[in-house]
Amino acid sequence: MKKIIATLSALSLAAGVAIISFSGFQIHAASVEEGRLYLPPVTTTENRKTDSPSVSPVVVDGDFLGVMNIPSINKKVNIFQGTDSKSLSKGAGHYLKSVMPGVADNSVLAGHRDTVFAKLGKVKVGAYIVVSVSSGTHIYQVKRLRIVGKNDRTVIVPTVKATLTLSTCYPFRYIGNAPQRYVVIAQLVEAEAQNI
Amino acid sequence: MIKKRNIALQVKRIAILGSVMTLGVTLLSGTASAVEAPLTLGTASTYGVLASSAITSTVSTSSVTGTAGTQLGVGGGTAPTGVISPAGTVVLGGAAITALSSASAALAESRGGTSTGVELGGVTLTAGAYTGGSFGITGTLTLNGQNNADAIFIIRAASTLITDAASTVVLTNGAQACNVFWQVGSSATLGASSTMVGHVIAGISISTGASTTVNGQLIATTGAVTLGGTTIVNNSCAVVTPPVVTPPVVTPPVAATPVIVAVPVVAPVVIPPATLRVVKKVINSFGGTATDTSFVIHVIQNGKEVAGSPVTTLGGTGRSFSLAPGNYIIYEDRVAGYRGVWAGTISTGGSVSLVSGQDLTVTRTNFDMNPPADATDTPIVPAPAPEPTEDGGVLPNTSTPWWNLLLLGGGLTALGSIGMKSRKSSIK
Repeated sequence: MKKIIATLSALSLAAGVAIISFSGFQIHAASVEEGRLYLPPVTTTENRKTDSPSVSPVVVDGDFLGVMNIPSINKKVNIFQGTDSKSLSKGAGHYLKSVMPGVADNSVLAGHRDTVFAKLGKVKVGAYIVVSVSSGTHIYQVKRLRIVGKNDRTVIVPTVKATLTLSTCYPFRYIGNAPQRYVVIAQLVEAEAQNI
Repeated sequence: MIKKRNIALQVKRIAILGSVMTLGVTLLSGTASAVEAPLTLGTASTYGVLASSAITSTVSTSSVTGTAGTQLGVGGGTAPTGVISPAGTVVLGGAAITALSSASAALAESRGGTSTGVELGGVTLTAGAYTGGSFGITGTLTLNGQNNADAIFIIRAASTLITDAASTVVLTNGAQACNVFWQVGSSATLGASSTMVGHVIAGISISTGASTTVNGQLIATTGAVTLGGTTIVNNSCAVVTPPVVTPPVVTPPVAATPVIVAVPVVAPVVIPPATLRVVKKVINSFGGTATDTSFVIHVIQNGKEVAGSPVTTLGGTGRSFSLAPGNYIIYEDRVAGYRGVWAGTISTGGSVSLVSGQDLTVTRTNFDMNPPADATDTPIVPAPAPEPTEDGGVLPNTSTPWWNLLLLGGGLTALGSIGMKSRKSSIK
């Protein structure tokens, strides 16, 4: 009996150390990979081809939607349709039951806390966020930062103004399933193209 | 002759000093109140109570009267509940949403201003902008108009405004309720039997206690207004005949020498100029190559460029203009493929208002547009009738497996260590 316990203990210890090393390596690799996750968009023009007024482009899960740039943290992120693990592994995911960026109402994007949104905590109120999707390039300004519970239902809500909501897990370095969400709320700013 | 001129100048200065001293307070209030323009509420100003989600009057009867408008507006489209009498027209959705958007814009407009402590009770404020994290009123807050009917008060709380029971806001020396603006980042709570004055614009919700009085408006831009029996009086600004001010060209005291007439002293009252600093930032997200030196900025007044304008190289730290107080327009020559945003105390159209001695910094940030679709600057037409965003959606799970695995590894290691240790101790 003692021998079994001893063997089990040894095995458990060995497995534990192995798993810690493995997951630690993965977390480290993810943060390294984070810098390389952004690929220059090649599909924007393809998306645009379908964007004629008569034909509404049909976007399916996992489709490339566009690019987001947060200059204050020097972070460019590709945006994909849907927030399943497949989309999130590639970049930021666009929450399906929310509008596309650039129009009135609330557009919600989610991303991993250890990859695309690892530095989201450093984004301050007043920072700009530039989003390029098929409808054009839209400029948002951060208005509010929130930390909410993961079951908070007040974040994904319709809004009067064109709003961009970024969400990721919080705390950023939490061992296990993070219980909270870090939310950045930005509003579309009027950017004039002409003189005055 | 030179000596004579100097004496004359001296006499003139004394005369002016005298008149300035006699004018005293009036002059002071004149410069202070000019600092702030009122917030633009647009169509929102005709509402006594305006809420995004709901208006309820819970405990006893509330009333809305006033000359500026007595409408009740709810953006969410649900009619107000409870007894509100008398009240003007009820506006649901449509126009109320437009009004809410104007109010949100007014709420978002930050004027900066003097940083002020939490407790406003027992405090006297003169015209101007005030800012703080949150504000509370216990007792009496006095707003002193300093004999200027146009004295504007803009008080901005990043989070909450909470007033105590029986607290009051008192207007003195010509201050008017229509010129008082409360920008409340989240929620405003007015204590029972308290008196509030001004346009209260809250980022989320407003609730009032029983027997409260509001001389102004209650606007909740994203949430509800809950009234506990409130008398709301939404009056327009009274047209006040300016107080009889002795014109500055008063007879100089005693030393009235005939020499004064002969001396052509130009602008004897030295009005310190204002400093306008224009800072330029360029954000290239999509391969744009323009830098802060690629843009030309013009500062104009009455259609004419001011000295030093146009500026071609602003650099990151910006360029300063020393300008006489007044209104100016700043604009930028178009650079293909770029859009720009103003930040600072400047309108979207680029107009700024400078007062004497002010040091104003405005920042122009340009963004490159993702070519080629935006290069033509065609107006962006959103896809027809996009599905609205879900109300109360669950936040997506953004966790990766690795942190969970780390937890599992930690658990196993701990279990293994305990097992090994107990084995060792049992051998002993």
